[in-house]
Amino acid sequence: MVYRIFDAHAHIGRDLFSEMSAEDLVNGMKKWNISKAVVSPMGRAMISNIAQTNDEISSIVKSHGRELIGFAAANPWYGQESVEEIDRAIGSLGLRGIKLSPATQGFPVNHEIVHPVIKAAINHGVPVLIDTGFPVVSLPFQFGDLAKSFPDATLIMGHMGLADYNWFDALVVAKSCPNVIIETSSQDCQISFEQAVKDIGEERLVFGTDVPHTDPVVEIRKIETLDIPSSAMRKIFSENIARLLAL
Amino acid sequence: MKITDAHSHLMVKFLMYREAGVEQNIQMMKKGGIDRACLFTSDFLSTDGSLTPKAWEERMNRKIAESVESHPTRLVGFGTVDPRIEGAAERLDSFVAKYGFRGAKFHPWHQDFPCGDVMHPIMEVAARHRLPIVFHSGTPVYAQPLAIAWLAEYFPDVPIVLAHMGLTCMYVDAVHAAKRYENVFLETSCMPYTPVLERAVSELGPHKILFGTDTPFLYPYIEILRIQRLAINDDDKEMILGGNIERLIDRSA
Repeated sequence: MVYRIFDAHAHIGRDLFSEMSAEDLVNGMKKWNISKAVVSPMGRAMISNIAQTNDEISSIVKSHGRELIGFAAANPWYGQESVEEIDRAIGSLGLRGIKLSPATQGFPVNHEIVHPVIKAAINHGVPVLIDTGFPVVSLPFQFGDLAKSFPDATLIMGHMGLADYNWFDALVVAKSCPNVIIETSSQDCQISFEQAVKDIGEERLVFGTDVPHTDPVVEIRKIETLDIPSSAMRKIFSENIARLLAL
Repeated sequence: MKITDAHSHLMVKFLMYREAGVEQNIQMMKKGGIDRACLFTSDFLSTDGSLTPKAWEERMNRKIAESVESHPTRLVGFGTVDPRIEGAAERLDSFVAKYGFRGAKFHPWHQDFPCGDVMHPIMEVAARHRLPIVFHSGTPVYAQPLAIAWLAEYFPDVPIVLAHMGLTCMYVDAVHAAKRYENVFLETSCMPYTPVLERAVSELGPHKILFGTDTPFLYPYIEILRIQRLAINDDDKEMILGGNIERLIDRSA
């Protein structure tokens, strides 16, 4: 069975251990049979000169309008300025969501410093994709603390808590927070997704690769071989993210 | 190419998991194209309250030995002991003699011990028997890669394997540890970052990297696919996928 595949978590730029250009991503997507990807920046571009970062992402998605959807960088450390940048990135640049990387940007995800960013996302009706699984700053229950504070925000839990048994915690959080969406990249434990379908249903899981950090072929294989209904497979691979972003 | 998995478990009833016999391991190995696997327990702390900790230790190690006995060409037994209970080194020594284990596995957070002086007598046993010691790594607080690798300061001859090579977010520590200490090795299960794997191979040398799957928690056909697709040469791949661990567990070496 061939599924239509949208990647809810791809990157352009460079960070501590990898890099990816827009051209390489778009060419790669053809090889991997990924028809659309949500792209966000990474590394230093998430930390400073955020307006420049968002201009670049916006210009990239404009030249690859069929394949790419852009998420804006937001750095909560900039306070009101970060809210104004979100207004510009979503309102004028045409970006469709917000990306936060607590470990890269240096804040606990449940700290009050994040609240203006989440409120701005609610105002614009866009989801926030947040990397999770890093002890101290972004463990599932820290993410859940934020999700409980903002039940109107759509929060995508990148990596489903990442390593170890963090996925147990991810499911506890997702079960009690209907505004939490789980994203699959670099979560290596396939049992976690089968359990997730049982625990939270088929609607709140989205496929992601976290490319260039991972091998998308492995990330796809990991999902397409799951023991779940084909309806769930379709939703995870594309329908759920299409619904969330009105694609 | 002979494929040897440096990290697999015999599943017992534990959290959401059900007890599964060794045949499940063999099936999963076949599906993933794995020829031989190092087999650890997954029952690191007793889940059976009716047993004393020492009786549990004996039963768990015996189960590993029996599993290996039922598939002697497929499986290589690794033992473990509870380092918190006095006489752990002597008990490991006797399990190795009795069951022919070719290594030992420790899980610092699961077994609830900080990986410092308490490990020294156990490492002495490992040195005497030329056994590699595998540690779960990458989970703060107890299983920090550098805390484990620090044992190499005192035991430069014991192969120390950092399972999961820092488990995603602590890969930097794992790579530094393997660079600093000749006898520290990195095992690849649950390391989804392809660029980290490729850079580790080129910076540390392919002899430092051991393919592992963490079966049955993770699925071998996925873990092996990632390694097979790395942009490294075939000789390096052959070492990583089996040659390196085979050398560490070779009784005659």
